[in-house]
Parts: sequence; structure tokens; C-alpha cells
Amino acid sequence: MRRADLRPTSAIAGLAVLLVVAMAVACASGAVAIPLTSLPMLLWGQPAPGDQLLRNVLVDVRIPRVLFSALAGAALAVTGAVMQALFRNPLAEPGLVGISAGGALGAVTAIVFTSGGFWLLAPAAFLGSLGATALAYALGRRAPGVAGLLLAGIAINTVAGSLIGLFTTLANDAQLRDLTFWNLGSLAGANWSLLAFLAPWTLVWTIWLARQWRLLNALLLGEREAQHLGFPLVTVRRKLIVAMALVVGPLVAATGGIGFIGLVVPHLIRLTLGANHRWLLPASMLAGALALTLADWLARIVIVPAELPIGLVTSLVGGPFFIWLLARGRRLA
Amino acid sequence: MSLVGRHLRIERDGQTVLDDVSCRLGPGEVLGLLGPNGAGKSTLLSALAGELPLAAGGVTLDDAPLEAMPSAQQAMRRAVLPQKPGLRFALSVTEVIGMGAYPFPALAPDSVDALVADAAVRADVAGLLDRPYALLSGGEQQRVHLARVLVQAAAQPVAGQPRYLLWDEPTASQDPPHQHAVLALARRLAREQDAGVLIVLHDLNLAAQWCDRLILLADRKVVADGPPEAVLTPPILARTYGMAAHVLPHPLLAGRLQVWFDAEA
Repeated sequence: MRRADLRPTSAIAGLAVLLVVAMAVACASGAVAIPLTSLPMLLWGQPAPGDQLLRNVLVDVRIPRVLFSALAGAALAVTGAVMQALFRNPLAEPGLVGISAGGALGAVTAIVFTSGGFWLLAPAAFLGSLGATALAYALGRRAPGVAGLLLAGIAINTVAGSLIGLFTTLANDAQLRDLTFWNLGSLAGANWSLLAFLAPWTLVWTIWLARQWRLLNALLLGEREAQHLGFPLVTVRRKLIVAMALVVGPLVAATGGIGFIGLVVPHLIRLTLGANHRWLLPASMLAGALALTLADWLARIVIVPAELPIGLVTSLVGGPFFIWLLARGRRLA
Repeated sequence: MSLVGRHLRIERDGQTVLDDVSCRLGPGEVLGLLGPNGAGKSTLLSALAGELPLAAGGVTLDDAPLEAMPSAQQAMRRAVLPQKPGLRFALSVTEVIGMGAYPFPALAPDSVDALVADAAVRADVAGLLDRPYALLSGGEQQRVHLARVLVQAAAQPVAGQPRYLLWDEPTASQDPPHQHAVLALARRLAREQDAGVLIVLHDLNLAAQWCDRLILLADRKVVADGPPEAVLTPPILARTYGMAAHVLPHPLLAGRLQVWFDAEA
């Protein structure tokens, strides 16, 4: 292996180990505690009759939820990193830029005006995300720099938020319960049938994004420079925006808005491993999965048997981090 | 075999910034692009780089129209050194130079490493390879990009398919030794690799000393196109720059000229 590759590859291996450990711990703890040591027995062994309940909790509730947190965290972190390179802006993030809100608006529209259900929510959320991403990109280009993009994000979040509010007044009680879920995000809806669609879908697009590392590195130099390194700008820009919306839209349809993972995780990786997307993207994927797994674990164990909304936990960490980034001054990633 | 712009007209916000400009960059030559500020030098370079929509005229690369050629193919045959590349990102110098190999994804990592090492020596940044790019001075950053462009020009050579290099003011932030080193590099690329190198320059003496041919732009048009002794004449220079100019044979370099402007006249 080349000497320069040693540090990032070992960091990525370390993150993978941490992720596995965190996922095991998250599977074990919660309202019903499962001893960590009995996990293999419950999964692969012949559980004693008294352990059947534990096994059901583990297989039907915990594992899908933990897998789902890891999946959502990985996807949000990679999308954040890609968006920061494409927008050439360190503050680009699905939540701040309004892409999650666009997805939520699409989903809420589907809840209020149709029979609902994930299979209508997901495409509606995708369309909402796509519209918001394209709008943010167009507006951000007109007024380059951090301020332009943030203002675009504020505008998109405001419009989407007010439309969501408007639709809320039109909703009936059952729809209202679905709607409140968007505001704070939740992983409680995780189950195997949702995962069966969302996991391969999200992974395929996330991995496709992670493979675009050369293009994203070239974009760090500038759009003209990327073109001169052989990347047809108009085409690749369109592809990236669609791929990001394909990842974020259905995810938002299933989880609601979970903020700041896409902002915090890529930044921490960049501070430690540098901005080379060859390492930044896989490392962000693992670290995002790790971060959201831990956040969801915290959300479940702090006020047992109730749980904190996951969006609250990520914002509690992400909000101050965001303030710190702003205070630190403009720095292009 | 050449990079050719024919009757180019370029408009920006309704204003004509290049008007009926034709030029040709052939393999094996160093072509200097000169002219006062705002004459359209960078615009012409951008047009040859395929960056700008043309209001009239066309650009061909080895007889193929540029607009019909995918970016990926263009990048395998033409490399562009920008005037002010992106300045702040957390990449190492090696990583930035290695991007010159991106148009050639089939290259093995070892070949890329060898190209990067060679280009770093040529651009005099070999001592900076492990440093973070963002911490370098402006002149050093410019030479890092020069090395990146050298990798792009040297990777996977194809017989009978010359490379074209477009350098926008590569000497702008360089000290005098590095200014000459950059131009010597251009000549070496032209002679050894049969590359065609177009360089936007302001220093007429550097142009006179190192370029095979010069194009002088003024007021959005080509004023003169030819060998240095045909372009650098007192009447042409006085008309173009609005200042009296003296052109003398170089006292030490046979066959080369030196140019002096006279503010008093």
C-alpha cells in the first residue's frame, strides 16, 4: 500500500470497528435491556422459552431500528459532503439548504391530499427534495458565497414550512399525528419491510455518490477547472443533484427531518483526514452511520421508557457546532 | 493538427468582448498572447478552452469541432492553467498535482505517482509535496497547478496526437528566476513533446526571449500575429499601448529583441 494511503485506510477501518460496536450496544440497550453477551445466542442459538420476548424485541424492533439509523446517518453524511463540494460551500447541508424541508413538503402534501402510505410519500418527497435542491443551487449560484446559499436555504425553509403549516390546518386528527413527526424526525417507524426497500435503494445511490470522488475533488478547484479535467459540468451537476434528491427524498419520507448530521460529520472528517473525497466520502459514510446510531441510542435511553425525538438530539449537538463554524469565519472546505 | 479559432466573436452582457478574432496554435510551438489590459487575452484563451459560448465563428481541435467533442476527450488533449485557481481547501500538494491524471482513469497508481514526482521537479515544487496546499504562497500555489497541468500533458501520450496547453499569466506571481523557468518549461514541452503552448503574458521581454510566435490583441481584435521581430516593432507597440516604444537587439542573446517603453515621449 502507498504510504499516503495508510492513514486514511486505517482511520476508515477504525470507524468500521467502532460502528459495529456501537450497533451492538444500541441493539442491547433500551426500555428492555438485553445483555450484550446474549446477543449471539438470541440471534443464532436456541433461546430458552423465557428469552423469546427478548428475541422478539431484538429481531423485530431493535435490529431494524439500528440498521435504519446507520443507513440514514450514512446517507445524510455523504449527501452533506457531496453537497458541500458541489455548492463549493462548507455550510451546504440537506437541512440548512432546505432540501429536507422540500422533501417534507412533498411528503406532507401526499399525507393530506392522498390516502398516504410510504409508497406515495417516497416519490412525493423525492420530487419535493429535487425541486428544493435545484432551487437552492440556482439561487446559490446567483449570489455566490456562504451568505447567498444560507439566504436561499432560509427562503426555501420558510416557504416549505409555511406550506406545511397551511396543510396542517387542513389535516384531520390522524393526519396530524403523522405530520408532527416531520418536525422533529423519528426512527421509530423502522421495520423490515421499510428496510427491504430503503436499504438497497439508499445504499446504491450513496455508493454511486461516493464513487464520484474524482469529480468532487475537481470541483474543489473550481467549476472551470473541473471541466478542464474532463467532467462535463452541466451533465454531472444535474446527475449529482438528482442522485442527492433520490437519497434524501425517500429517507425524509421515512424519518422526517434529521438535521446537522450532513454538516457536522463531513467537517469532523475533513479536520482529521483532509478534503480528498476518495477518503472523505467513505469515512463520512461510516462516521455518519456511527453518529446517528449513537444519537438514536441516546434518544432511547435518556428518558426510558419514553424517548427523545432524534432530530432534537442531533440539533442539540449540531446547533452549537454550526455556531462554532460561523464564529470561526468563512473557510472553504 | 492544431488548435484553431476562426472568426471568433464573443459577447458578454450584450457587449462584444472579442470581434472576428482568428488564431492558430500548432504543435511544437510556444505562442505568446499579448495585449493591454482588457484587450481580450483571457477571453480568447477561454474560447480556445471551450468555456464560452460563441456568438460567431468556431474552434477546432485537430480539425474536430470543439462543441462536438466530449469534455473527457478534450481533457486528454488540452490542459488549461487558470489565472486564479481555487485557493482554499484541505488537500495536500501531492493530491492537487495528482488531479492532472483524472482525465486518464486507466492509469495505474504507480504511473500517476511517477508523473507527479516528475512534474513536481519540473515546476520546482518537489520540496512542497507533503505540505497542505492551502498554506502555500500565491506563487507556490500557481506552480502547484502548473505541475498539475504538466501531469495532464504528459499522461498516456498518443503518437501523432499532440497536446495543447493554455496558460493564463503563468508568470504573474512568480519571481524573475521562476518566470524564466516557467517559460523554459514551455519551450521544453514544445521541443521534446511536440506540445503547442499558448501563454498569456504581459512582459514583452519575456515574450521576446522565449516565444516562437506572438499574437498582439488590442481593443478586442488581433493587431499583429507573427514572429517576435514582426510583432514587436515601435509603430505597432506605440499604437497598441499608446506609449512610445524602443526595440533593440538583445546585447547578449543573438537574434532576440528587447523592448523599452518611454514614458517621457
